Amino acid sequence: MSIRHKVILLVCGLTLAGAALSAWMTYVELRRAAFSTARERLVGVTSQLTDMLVESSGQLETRTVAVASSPQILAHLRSPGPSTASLAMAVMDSVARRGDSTASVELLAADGERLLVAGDPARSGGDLNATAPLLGVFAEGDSAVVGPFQVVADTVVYASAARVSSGGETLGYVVQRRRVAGSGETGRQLRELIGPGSALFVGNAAGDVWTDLARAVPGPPIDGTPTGDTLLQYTRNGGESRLAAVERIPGTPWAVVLEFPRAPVLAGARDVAGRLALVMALLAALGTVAAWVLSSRLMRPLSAAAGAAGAIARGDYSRRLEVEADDELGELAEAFNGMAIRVQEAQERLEQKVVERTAELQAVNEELEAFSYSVSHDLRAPLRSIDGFCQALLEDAQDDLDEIGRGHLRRVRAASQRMAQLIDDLLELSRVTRTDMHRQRVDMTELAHEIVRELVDDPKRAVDVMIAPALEAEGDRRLLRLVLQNLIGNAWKFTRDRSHPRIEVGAETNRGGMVYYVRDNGAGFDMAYADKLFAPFHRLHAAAEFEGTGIGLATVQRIVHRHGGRVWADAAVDRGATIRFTLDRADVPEARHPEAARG
Amino acid sequence: MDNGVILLVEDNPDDQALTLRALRKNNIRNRIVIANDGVEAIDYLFGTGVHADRDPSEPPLLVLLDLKLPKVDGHQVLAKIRADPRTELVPVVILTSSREQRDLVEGYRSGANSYVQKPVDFEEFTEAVRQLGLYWLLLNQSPPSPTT
Repeated sequence: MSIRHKVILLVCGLTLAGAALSAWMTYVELRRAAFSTARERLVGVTSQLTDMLVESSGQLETRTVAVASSPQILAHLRSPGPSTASLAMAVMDSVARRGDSTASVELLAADGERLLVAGDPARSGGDLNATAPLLGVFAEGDSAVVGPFQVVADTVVYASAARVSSGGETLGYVVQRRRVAGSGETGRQLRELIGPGSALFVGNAAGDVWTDLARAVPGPPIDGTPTGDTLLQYTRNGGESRLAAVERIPGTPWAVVLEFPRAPVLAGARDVAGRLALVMALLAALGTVAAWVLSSRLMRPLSAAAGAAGAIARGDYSRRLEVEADDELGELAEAFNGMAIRVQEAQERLEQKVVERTAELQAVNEELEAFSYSVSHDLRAPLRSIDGFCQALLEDAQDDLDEIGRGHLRRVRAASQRMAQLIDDLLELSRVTRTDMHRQRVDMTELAHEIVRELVDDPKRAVDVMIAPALEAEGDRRLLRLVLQNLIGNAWKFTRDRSHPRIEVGAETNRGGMVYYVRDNGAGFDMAYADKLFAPFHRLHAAAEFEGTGIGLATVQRIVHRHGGRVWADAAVDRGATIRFTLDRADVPEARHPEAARG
Repeated sequence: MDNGVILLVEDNPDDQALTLRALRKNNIRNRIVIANDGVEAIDYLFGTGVHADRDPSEPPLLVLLDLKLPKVDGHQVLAKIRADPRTELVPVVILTSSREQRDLVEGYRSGANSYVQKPVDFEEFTEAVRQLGLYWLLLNQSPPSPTT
């Protein structure tokens, strides 16, 4: 991946991550704040309600105490009789019929026995015997208590009891039973205050009876444990999530719960967070675009540098970079240009050197050319004289010469002829080194056939020659001809004494390159001396056995090396020899059918 | 064809002797004139210098020309032979020990009729001369003399 894409990806990733992180943190913060606000509100309102309920329960107690303290009640309890009873009833009635939610007022004896009942007990529900729980609430020193809520039919009732005591002695109790009969006004006001969906529950701290101040209602799935400064969270009404604050009403067994739907609390936070996320995403997108634009501007000099480096690698040494800015990229450009200049100079110096060396080489070659030209001509002339006049002597002085003399002359002639051959071979060797190579596709099969045709001079001598068809090589035709001439000529020479002489010319593929070979079943040689095989003038056979100057293989080696190849030999005495050679491996095409065919 | 003159242009006395010997051995009885260098050859052909007394109207039957000659070399002699209408048709055989490609090319380009390399082996040399004689003197139709 290019640096550019990496940078863009990095910026994009970072801004997105940053945006997501800050949006999340903001959301969390907003949520916390929203909850906090809701809690404060809820707790606050709940406190107020609690205060109100404390006050009203206090008032209730006070009134009950007032009744319990009235002298008529006292008198009846002290000395119960019909007149005290009616007086006490009068007092109790006045309270019972006040028209608020008081349902009945009862006078109980100290043991809890019901003595008098004022008002409409039916309105307070049926179970008039349930005074024990109420009275059980009394603790040492309490003058009045408020009892727990009870559900009677579909009404919620509660009671307040006051002790009637005189002189520290409990004479009896006055119980005021009331009904919960609100109008729902409270609920409406609440909803206005807190918000839609809010709900108020007042009930027993034990959590068994709940009312919404109008009637009994199924309560929230909690008990009356106060929540203090935190909020409760639960689901109600088929999965709706609610928040609630719970408080105990001191001095009563009651608790008040203020509920609020959770969703609206969060809605605001969610909205804000959503808008924030949108803005952040937008910023991230902007950031990415900016990174895109900036990175391309930053990368441009680097790409230019890479392109210029590539151009120089391909040989265009004149490329330079523009130094655009005074920063690290500018430094890079300057350093690059400096390097390019030096490369160019070095290249020019090198080329200059090459030109000089080539000129020198050419001069040397020309000198060598002239040298070998005069060598070839001037050395041969005296040899011709030697040979010629020896022959003349042999012919003219035949009678005067005896066999020994003639033998001497013959040796002289042979020596001069050998020297002539040597001169020719040496000249050939030197020409092979100097001459220009013209590489082309060469049909080796055709060359081999030509050479064999030239060698076949003696019809009595039948040599079995197998030349592989379609042998091809890439090299200088003339030089390759010389190679084959030498190798096939050698094979021809050394199989001279065989009854079934056999020569093979072919090629095999080895290690991805073509290896040509010339094989014969002739005299062979001892491999122990093989390292001398290709050195000039070194022979492994006596001149008496096989003629030769010892230059042929040196010439072959020189030519093969000029082609970039290798030549080597395998042989055994009296079992023939195989000379193998390669030419430039990379250029050699595959022979199509490398099996040998009769040639 | 015994009447024509063979001009042998050769500086090496040994080679002169051997060539004469080879010609004789092959029964070539034509008169052989020897020029020791290029100048002498030109003098003979055009009746100048040392051969001022010769009539250049009758050119030789055959010229055996060596290339490596002192003073004026074989190529220059050949050029002169071909440049003059009196001698331009005379058969010239370059008989030289040089095997160099450029001599061969230049020889033919300058108008030599034949290029033969002098072998070191005298027997081969004799054979070469014999074949030369056979061809140029007997088989080959000489160009007409310019005077006729």
